[in-house]
Amino acid sequence: MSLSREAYRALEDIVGPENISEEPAILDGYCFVWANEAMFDDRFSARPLAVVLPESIEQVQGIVRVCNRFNIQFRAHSSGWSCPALSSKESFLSIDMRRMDRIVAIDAKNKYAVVESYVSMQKLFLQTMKVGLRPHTIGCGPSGGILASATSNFGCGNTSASSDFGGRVPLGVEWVLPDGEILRLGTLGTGSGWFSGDGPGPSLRGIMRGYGGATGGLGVITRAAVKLTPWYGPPALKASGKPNIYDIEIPENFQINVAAFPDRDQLTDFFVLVVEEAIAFALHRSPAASLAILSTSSGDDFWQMVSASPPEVAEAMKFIGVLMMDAGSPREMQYRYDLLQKIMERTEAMNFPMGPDMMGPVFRNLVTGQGQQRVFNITTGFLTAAVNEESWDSVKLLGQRVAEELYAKYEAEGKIAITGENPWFAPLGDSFAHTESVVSYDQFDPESIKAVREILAEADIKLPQWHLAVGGAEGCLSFDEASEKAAAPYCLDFLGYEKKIKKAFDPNLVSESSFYVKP
Amino acid sequence: MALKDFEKDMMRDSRCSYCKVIPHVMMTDTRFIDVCPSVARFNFHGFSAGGRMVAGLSLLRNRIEYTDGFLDMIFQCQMDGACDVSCKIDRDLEPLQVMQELRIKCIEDGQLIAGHMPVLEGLRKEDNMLQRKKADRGKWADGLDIKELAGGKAEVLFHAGCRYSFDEELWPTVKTGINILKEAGVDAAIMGKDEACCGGRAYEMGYEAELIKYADHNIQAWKTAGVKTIVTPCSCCYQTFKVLYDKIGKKPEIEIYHFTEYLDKLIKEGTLKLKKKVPIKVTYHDPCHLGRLSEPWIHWSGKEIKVAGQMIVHDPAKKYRRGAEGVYDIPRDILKAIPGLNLVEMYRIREYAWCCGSGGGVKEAYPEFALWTAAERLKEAKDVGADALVSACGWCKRNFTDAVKETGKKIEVYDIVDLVQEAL
Ligand code: SF4
Repeated sequence: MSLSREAYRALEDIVGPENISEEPAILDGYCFVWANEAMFDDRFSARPLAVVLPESIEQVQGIVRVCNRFNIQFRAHSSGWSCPALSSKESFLSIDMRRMDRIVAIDAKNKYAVVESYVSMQKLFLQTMKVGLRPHTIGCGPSGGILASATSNFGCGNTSASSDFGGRVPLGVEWVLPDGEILRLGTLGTGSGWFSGDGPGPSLRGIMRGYGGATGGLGVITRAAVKLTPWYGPPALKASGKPNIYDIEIPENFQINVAAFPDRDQLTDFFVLVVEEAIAFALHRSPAASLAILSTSSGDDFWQMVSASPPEVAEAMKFIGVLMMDAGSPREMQYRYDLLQKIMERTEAMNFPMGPDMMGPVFRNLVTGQGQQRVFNITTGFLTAAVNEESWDSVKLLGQRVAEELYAKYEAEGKIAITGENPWFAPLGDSFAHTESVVSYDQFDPESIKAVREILAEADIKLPQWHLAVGGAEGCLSFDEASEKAAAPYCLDFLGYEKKIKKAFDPNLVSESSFYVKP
Repeated sequence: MALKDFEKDMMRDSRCSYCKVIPHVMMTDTRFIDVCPSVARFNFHGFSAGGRMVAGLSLLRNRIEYTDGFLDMIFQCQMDGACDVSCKIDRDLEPLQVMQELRIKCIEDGQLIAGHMPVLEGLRKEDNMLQRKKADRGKWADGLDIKELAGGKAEVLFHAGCRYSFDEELWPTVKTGINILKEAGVDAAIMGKDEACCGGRAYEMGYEAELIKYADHNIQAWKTAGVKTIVTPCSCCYQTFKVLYDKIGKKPEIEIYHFTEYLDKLIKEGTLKLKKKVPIKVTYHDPCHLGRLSEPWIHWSGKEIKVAGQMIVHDPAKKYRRGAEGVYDIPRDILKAIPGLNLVEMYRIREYAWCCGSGGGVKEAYPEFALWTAAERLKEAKDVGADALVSACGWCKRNFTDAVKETGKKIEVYDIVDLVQEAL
């Protein structure tokens, strides 16, 4: 499939010849991303028709209008680090937002920043640190697009307990609708600035992103204001030493605690109490192995550390919570510390002592999100097979049931990595939570990939039956609506509403929608 | 090794784009966050290490064919290795090696870059990268009181390299180098017209046979002359002798020094005394080949094994070159030892240094891109308030000097040797 020459010229006229490409080698960089092989038959999904690099909202609008005129499917992305950004069974026009990389404004007084589509979490954070603020973190890591996570994906990370998750982050939004009209949401819609997403002015956040994000299926967000949270650390992080384990100075007003619990109930209580008392900068449950991954320099070093560790250690660390507290003053830190001691006592927590070798990398990860993708070094492929939002109980139930009822069989057959119960859990704001359970596999092993596909399909069916989640890989509803259909009997007819929204906003059905909803 | 041998690395690329920027903990200013000139200039993902990993896989799988656009995408890159360091902050992958093997494959398949051809022809005929007569190679040393080996013997050999040998504007630097060695009582010699190219820059352009040829030739010549120590002011030659010859299994049994290392030794021994004040505010540019690319080669042979079901580890465990062991402190120590000199650092330094723009055959085939890259560095140097940019490689100095002329930026460009001379 290719663009007609007329359509190509129309796009070229908008972005200029340097910023459009049909070169196959370049296009292949836009249909290759981790986990593709688990959803498609290959590391590559369908090659895009072309790639364009707009640099302004006018250019984006022009591109979208051309797509409507020539009936071309399009999808925009920022970093492009996920299947919903790049992948599809059918070719479409890929809009790479890389040239829209400006931090438009940081309003320190009102605690928000206005960013263009490509601005990464790292880039924004580096700037906001200088004025004592921070954006919400993105689980995938520092190169993830801050706007994408706020407006188009679920958007959560280590600090979601304090900085909230993507859905609560966007304020004023500038949105090129699928038909090429420009819609400005919140206060921006009445010319009152960027400070509110809910007006005076149109409040369509629920439609624009809903809960999980439309993942590119509803036009292109070109600019958005995102809320910021206080940062009590220094204006820049201080790292020294050698790559890839740098020594990092942990600021005095930050404190990391890793606590091990006797059982799932105590672990859950710990999370509830910490969130109630609002003492967390970052809070999550993760497998103990993740601490080893962060603090070793390679997959081989990780394995040496883990395999040398006595089984009792692994058992004692089956249920752990990682908490980092920050404070604006020593007195506040003391207050938080005292509270934490009481919570730990009540939940029978045991403090897991960490040396500086582990502390630095864990701090770096909690603050910047960097380090997560080291998991690829030992498993080569991994994918979130089960995601749950909302339920606090999922902290104890989801990981366990997924491990026992979905993974165990395949682990016994050696088809996936033996990780056991390995949920990553993080509270979101003050009242609900996100849990995901990853499956690790070998990208080169067809049997391993087949097992992952079976697990995904089973998860789609079983999670709603367990009343634990709507399934779907990578926190988006799964490709081909399998998970939505399986969940439909247990939920309101959300699929029907999504289809109506899609039709109303995208009359020509050109905004590529594989990871959102089928029209 | 061949491209095929890196298929798993290419498959395992996650497309995280870490290779495009400097990691958060090592960066303070978002204006200088880019680490890869190629993707910073051309923007499409294909111009990053990650994009080239994908392209390598596509080529192996016959998904793509050779086109001019593809070749430009592969060769509009300085092979500076910054992407490799940024990728390896979290990954155990070898993007730079993939890019090297991709170039080698292109050349083996007859896909030649027009801008490289005259250089390669010159190299094959005259043993240098500047398309000049071999017979003129030693001219830079005319009038110097220096032993020129002509079948004779010497323990310490000063290897000027192609750039310093033929670029008249750079001759003062090498002449100074020789004078410093003489003043320090080092009995050094040069090879003069018999000196040959190291082969490193041709290798970066994808010409592996040239690297092998010059490794064999040079090692034999050094052996015959009884050379025990080589001192070179050229960072590219230094990296080639120290790292690339080892990589291809031809590690010379000779001590290899970059001139800064030798200077540092002389200063720290007290043989060389820096007495005169040089009141200037400078910033130091880490040459890629002296910095991250000069990290010693790590040989590994073994196999992948599966543990815990589908986890993959290496037997024996594999170690990675992550840019940690380059020469970073020595040039800074020298500059700090110069009385009156004020050294200020740029944002992108050491293993994350921004390239000068001239490497990987870019200066030869894509001169505008080379100058654009250098101009970005000049901006950074000006931003930290430096009056001068100091480097330790002739290729860097040449490209920065050209960019100063081109952009009209008010900044001096020095080789570190020039400043040492002023302080003596
Ligand atoms: S080369 Fe490394 S850093 Fe770049 S996209 Fe691939 S995995 Fe990520």
